[in-house]
Amino acid sequence: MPNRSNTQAADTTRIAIIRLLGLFIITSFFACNNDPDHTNAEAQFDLSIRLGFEPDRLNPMLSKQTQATQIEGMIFLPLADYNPFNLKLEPVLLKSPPKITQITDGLYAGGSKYEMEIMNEARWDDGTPVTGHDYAFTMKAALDPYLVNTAWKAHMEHITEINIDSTNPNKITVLTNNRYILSEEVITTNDVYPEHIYDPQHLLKPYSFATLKSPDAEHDLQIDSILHDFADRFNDEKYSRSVVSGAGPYTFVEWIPNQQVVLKRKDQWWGALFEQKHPSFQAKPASITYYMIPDAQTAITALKDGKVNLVAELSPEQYTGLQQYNDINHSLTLEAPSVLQYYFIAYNSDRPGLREKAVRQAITRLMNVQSLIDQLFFGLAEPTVGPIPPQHKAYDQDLIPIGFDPAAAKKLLDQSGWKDTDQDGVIDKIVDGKKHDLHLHILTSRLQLSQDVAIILKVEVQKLGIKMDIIPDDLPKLLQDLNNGDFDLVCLSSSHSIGPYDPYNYWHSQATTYGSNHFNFRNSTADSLITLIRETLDEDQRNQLYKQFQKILFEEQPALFLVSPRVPIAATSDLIFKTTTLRPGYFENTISLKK
Amino acid sequence: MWRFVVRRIALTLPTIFLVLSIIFLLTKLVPGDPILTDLQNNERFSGSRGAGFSAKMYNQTAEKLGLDKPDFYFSIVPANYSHDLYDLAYLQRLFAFRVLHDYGHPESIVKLMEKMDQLVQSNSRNDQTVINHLNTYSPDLATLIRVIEESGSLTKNDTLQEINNLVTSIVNARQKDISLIPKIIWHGFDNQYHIWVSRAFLLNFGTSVTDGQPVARKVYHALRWTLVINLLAIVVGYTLAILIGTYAGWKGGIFDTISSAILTGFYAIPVFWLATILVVFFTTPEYGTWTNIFPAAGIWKTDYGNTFIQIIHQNASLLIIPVITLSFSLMAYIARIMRNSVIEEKNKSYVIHAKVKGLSDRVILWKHVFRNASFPLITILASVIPAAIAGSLVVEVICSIPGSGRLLYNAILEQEWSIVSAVVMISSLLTILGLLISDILYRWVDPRVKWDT
Repeated sequence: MPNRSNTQAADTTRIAIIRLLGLFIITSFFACNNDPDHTNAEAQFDLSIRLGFEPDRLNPMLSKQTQATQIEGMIFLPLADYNPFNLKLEPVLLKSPPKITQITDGLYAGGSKYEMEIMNEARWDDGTPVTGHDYAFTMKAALDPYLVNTAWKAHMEHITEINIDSTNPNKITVLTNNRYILSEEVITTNDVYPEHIYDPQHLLKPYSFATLKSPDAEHDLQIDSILHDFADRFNDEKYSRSVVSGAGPYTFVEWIPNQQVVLKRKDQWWGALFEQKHPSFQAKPASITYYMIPDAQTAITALKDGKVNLVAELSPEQYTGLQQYNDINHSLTLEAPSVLQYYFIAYNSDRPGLREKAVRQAITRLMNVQSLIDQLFFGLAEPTVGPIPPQHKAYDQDLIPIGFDPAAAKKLLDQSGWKDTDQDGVIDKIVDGKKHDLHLHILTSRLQLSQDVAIILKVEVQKLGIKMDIIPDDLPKLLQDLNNGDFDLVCLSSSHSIGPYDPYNYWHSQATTYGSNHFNFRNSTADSLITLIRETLDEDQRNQLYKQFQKILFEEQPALFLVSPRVPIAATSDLIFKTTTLRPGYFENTISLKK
Repeated sequence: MWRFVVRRIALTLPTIFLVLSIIFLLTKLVPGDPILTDLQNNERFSGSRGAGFSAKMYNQTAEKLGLDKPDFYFSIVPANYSHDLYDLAYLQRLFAFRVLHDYGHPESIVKLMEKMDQLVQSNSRNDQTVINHLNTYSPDLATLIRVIEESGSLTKNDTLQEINNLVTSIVNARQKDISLIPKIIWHGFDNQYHIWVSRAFLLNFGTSVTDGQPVARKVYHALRWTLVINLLAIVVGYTLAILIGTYAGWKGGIFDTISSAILTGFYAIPVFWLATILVVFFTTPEYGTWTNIFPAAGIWKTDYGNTFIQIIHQNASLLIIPVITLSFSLMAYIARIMRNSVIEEKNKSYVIHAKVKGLSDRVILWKHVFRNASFPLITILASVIPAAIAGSLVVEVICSIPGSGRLLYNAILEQEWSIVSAVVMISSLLTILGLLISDILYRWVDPRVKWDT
């Protein structure tokens, strides 16, 4: 028999549980009635944006995810940047475009001299001026071998000196040792860091850019130890999640893991006077909140409920569903700007069969690109013919995409001697004295889109006796197989900046071992053109070279270039915003409310 | 009782050790190169992806991830392997192993590696093509000979000449008489397994490769959300299940028939479907104002510097849908078991005896039948806690709850094995804890079970 005290204790426990449940239910419904409303008056316009993934870091030099780059663009400013609407490289922190002169003699003969001056009005979050020393610090930090920032380090090898004027710290001179099409972009478009915040110990201050760059520096133990120490501090999460400070229009307020990142417009925004100079100076929303909502359907529901203003990272299918919804409700603005990205299937040109141009051309003719656009992209893509997307100025409009033509493909295979001699259902041929079946393996990522693209190709090639196995891989395995050349075909996508395109890393013969030409494409004419393209600073002349280069790729078909996609964006209809071909397709600091 | 608890905890240590060893083994079996993945960056300038990382960066990343150390206390290797090879930097070591496997000549390979390092460090612009090739440590030796010969600087550079001679001699005199008897190389305690296990025992899982945060903190931040929604779901699910199951089993009749049909329906509803339906239909006025009952998922209200409790308090309404979703299938499952258990108990002789004694139905049901019928619920509790935590992944993604399920999902996508290991480890610990709690409860509720058994 339970005694009296036990019964009392049980009663107390029961009452406590009931109270807890009651409190939860009451609190819940109380909270239900106090949801934030983001559709305020314009003066207090608070923009809320859905992100599908949490950014990895808010540190432009170290972050890898596009979501991070998007947020960093609101906090940091570079010396110059591409205007997202007219797609021209324009000064941001600079007073005017760099003055570029060719160096004709001396140590850096053949190189260029860039003279630049930072605006006197430019200020950091704490009100201190932005100077050339901050720029020099940024570029020195980017050189640190202990920082994993391959995207920043790429192409910096030709920058040899960065000098700051002793009388005017805003004046910067950068010297390069050769002519290179990406020089201006590499020199000017990196986000500038405030030295006093990111290197308060002045670890890099005693060393010039040239000293850190010299081969001796690599073996200097003192420099090595300082670079190690700096990298340890700079890599610390403090400089990625709590101290995030730049010269941009927004200041970092807080980051709640996996929930939201909040930015607030600077109270005394120094760039307000320069809104017409560059869109980066605009700061229309009073605050920007990025909500991390992984499930797109949940994000769409929040958008329809007016709890977020803008949702991107949608699938074409979801976008089509929203179009139907909007036909009735008219509460959304739907846009699908095309972006500088393309999907392609690369051939491994070292493999028997794929070594032959005719086989590659035949497979290209077996991909029904229009069907792919209709079925997988719901019309939100356009065909492309090479590694330069159709939106790029250098795209060769004269090249007509190769259409779906199984008869022509069969003819090409027949002419090159691929026939099913042993009646096993797979075409074969004697290559290097050995009989080879045309049995191909196509690598794809785990993304459904990538696998669906492979399936569409597989269905068609099988009709002509080409056996194809689809191998979906996780990204690390895919990268490893790519690096090791363990593939016949591989489904990939590539993104571009608006700037000049350097084809070396993907398409030059030398990049087969040191670079990303994992496709083993080797063509001496293309190599010569790539070398010329890299040195030709005149845009018109360069575009002519690009056209010749695209014609070679079009003829050689080292890859099956598929489509350039459009990115679906849905926003509440009370927003005014312009789309851009730059990812993510909008520029949030320029978004305003309709009157 | 305390002796029982201490004994059970002591018995869990070998289990934890085994779990840790299995997790370590699994992370080693995952295909792909984590170093290469870590070195990948966004394509900042057109065509720049994959460019710009050297052997030095590769080795630094290997060191940062701790992958430059041997996997285990010892290695079983072919007889011609030398311990000196383990002193080489990581990428050079991999290259040396590859060459050794194909050609033999361990002494020449060690010399070759020294010369290659010497040339790379000289950073001569004249030999840049060769250096670029050496820097990747990827070409086979025949390709290396071709590249060196094509570079045209053989006659000018002594180191290059020596490399060429070494490579040529290794390739031309391939050793075929490699002994098949393996040998063991001892590495000591400075190995990946030892470091991983000793740190994991102290719940130190290192720092996240993606964002540099301590893994333990990331897991803690996520786990508390998962625990909150799951504990609420368990409380709600158990409470409703006990009430419905006990009443249905005791009364029978129409209530039992209808409740059984409904519970079977609830049990059959997939969690992801219920969560999606609730989010899509009941968080927006799209289907009528009356359907806009719950707030939009993922829209968190918070003020700067709020504590977790304050955030929970401010956003309790956002937890309703995940708690309902998780508790429904749990409730249906437990209510069915409770009902069957009560039916079994109500026909036993002690119930008839109690009725004869004149006890009221309420007292018989809640004081006697319920106590005996609740044993299966205690057994289930052991598995419910870890199952709920593992099963809340879908709900966390759909309802935008920043819990451990979502963390695990993202970690798998990003190949963050330190986080995956930590979450699996914590889940294992919770399973062990669940078993311990159920054992204690079982003995507490049923006096027939002794503490020393």
